[in-house]
Amino acid sequence: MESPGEYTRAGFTRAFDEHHLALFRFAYRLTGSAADAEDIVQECFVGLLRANCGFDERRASLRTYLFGAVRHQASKRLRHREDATAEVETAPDLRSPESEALRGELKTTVARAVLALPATQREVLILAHYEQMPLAEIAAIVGIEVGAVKSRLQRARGALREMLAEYAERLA
Amino acid sequence: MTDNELDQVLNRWKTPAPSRGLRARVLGSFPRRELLSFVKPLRWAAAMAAVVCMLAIGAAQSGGGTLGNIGDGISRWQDSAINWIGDMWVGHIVLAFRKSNPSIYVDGELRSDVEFGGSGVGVWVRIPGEGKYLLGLRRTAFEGPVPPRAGRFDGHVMEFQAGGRSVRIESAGTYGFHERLPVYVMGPVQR
Repeated sequence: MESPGEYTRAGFTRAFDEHHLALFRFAYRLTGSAADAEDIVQECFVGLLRANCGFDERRASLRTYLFGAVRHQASKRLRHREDATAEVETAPDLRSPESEALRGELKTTVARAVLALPATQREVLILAHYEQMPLAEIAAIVGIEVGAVKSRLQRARGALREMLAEYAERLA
Repeated sequence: MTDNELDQVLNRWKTPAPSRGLRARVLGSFPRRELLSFVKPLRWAAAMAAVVCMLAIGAAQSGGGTLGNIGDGISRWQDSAINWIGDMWVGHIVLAFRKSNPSIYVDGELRSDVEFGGSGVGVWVRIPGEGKYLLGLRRTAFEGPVPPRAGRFDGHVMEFQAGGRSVRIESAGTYGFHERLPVYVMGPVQR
């Protein structure tokens, strides 16, 4: 792996192709906005080209570093956003039969529920559930102990269980 | 709600795909190597210019015509550089001309026994029974006095007078830009 700021074009392209989708998903689920997610991913990769970006492969893998960078960028954006619980962007459902109505509603409701979680719980839940990351890697990204990751994850799932109980019953 | 049910509900939230432009934007931010390789010589040029300026200022302050000497030196260096570029260009043309196995005529007669060789802007012709003539296509080909101009070369034909004979060296091709170059002839130097 190249040192920060010394990437070859091929190495940089390889890093982008390998990680950008997961980073975009993470950024999207943290912010609820595809536009913000793209901006965040772009900023993270451009930042990687700077010599003083802070990435040290002896301390963390590139993936861990990039997820940490996305987390940092997302929290900055959310702080500056007046309406932190912004409307979640959902793609229009062109099929729109009535049988799809509940699914579409649930999709939006799940997104809102996840976005309503405290930021510290939300990021842990997204990394664990949606990105299927090991707890140790989540701990490295968030900068806390593995025990604290477990605790936050349990609290997040408990809160979601309450918020989404009604929809789970309707789907059953 | 069981853990499994919660997982199923959470999995309803799919993410959209990033736009196609994202990849182009990110990869487009990678600095172009050409620009980097251009910046380095530019820095050197700026450093050299700064040194020259400092020398000029220093010379001007010391007075006594030192500035004029620096100007003469720069002028001589410029002339040398121009001559060197000219020699390289003509040498390149003559080399291609020689390698094309040109036909050699002496007084209008095709001769296969005449030798033709050389290097750079200096070439030679050896006519059996008469000797070897040194030819220069630039004045810089001669270290001493420059011999008289006795012919011309246009990239296709080299014509000159040697020992009272008319020599014509003709190639099938044409080299250079049809510019007419003088041919200075010295000799015969060897029999």
